[in-house]
Amino acid sequence: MNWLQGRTVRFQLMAFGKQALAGAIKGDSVLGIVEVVDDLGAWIVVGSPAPGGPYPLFLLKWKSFSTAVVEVEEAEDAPKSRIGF
Amino acid sequence: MATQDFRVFVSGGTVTLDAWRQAMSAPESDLPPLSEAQKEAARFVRMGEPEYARGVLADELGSKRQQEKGRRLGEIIGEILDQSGKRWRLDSLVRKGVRFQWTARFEGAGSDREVEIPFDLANDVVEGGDPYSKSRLARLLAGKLELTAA
Repeated sequence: MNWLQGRTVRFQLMAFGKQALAGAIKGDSVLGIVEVVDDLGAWIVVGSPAPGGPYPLFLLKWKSFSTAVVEVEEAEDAPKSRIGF
Repeated sequence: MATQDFRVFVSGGTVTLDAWRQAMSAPESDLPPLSEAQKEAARFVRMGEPEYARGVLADELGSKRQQEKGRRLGEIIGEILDQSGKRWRLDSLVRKGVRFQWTARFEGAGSDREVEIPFDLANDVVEGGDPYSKSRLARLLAGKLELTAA
């Protein structure tokens, strides 16, 4: 499992990405959840797919965005394994 | 009960399609306020603050649902422990999204032990779709914790 899967990601699109996703998004960026990551890019859910049936995943090719933001949780809450004798 | 004080920790990707839909359809008045760091991040990717906040809400909903799932899983583990002599106490459950597993940490008389529970099994146990799932979990715990029926 890739660490991005199941995470909310904000991608800032390159001109190529904006053109490729012109029918699905507006603006310079896209918000989605990552379902699959492979050699082609990130397969993401965009918008609000209707429940109860198949739903589309959009392929965001690696070359189609310039940067992205992911929020990650603080690690300090996790319990630490004890060291003892 | 052998699990009354256990803690649940969640890490990794947690956003399900249901949580995502809920966040996408939430009225703007229900979106969480953004911190200065989040506002800066929104500007960084040239995204409007309301859209950014929808992502924050999706993360919050996803994490909350995983917390609830961990709480339910822990309660079921407690039921299993209660039927097996109570040698162990569940200390915590840690959801490790990258590894597709929950790690259950137990404390016993003078020792600690960890048991890795695959997501598939945990989901079956919590959602109750598979009648044999609790038995499978009980067998996993029995093997790792050397449990015997009370």
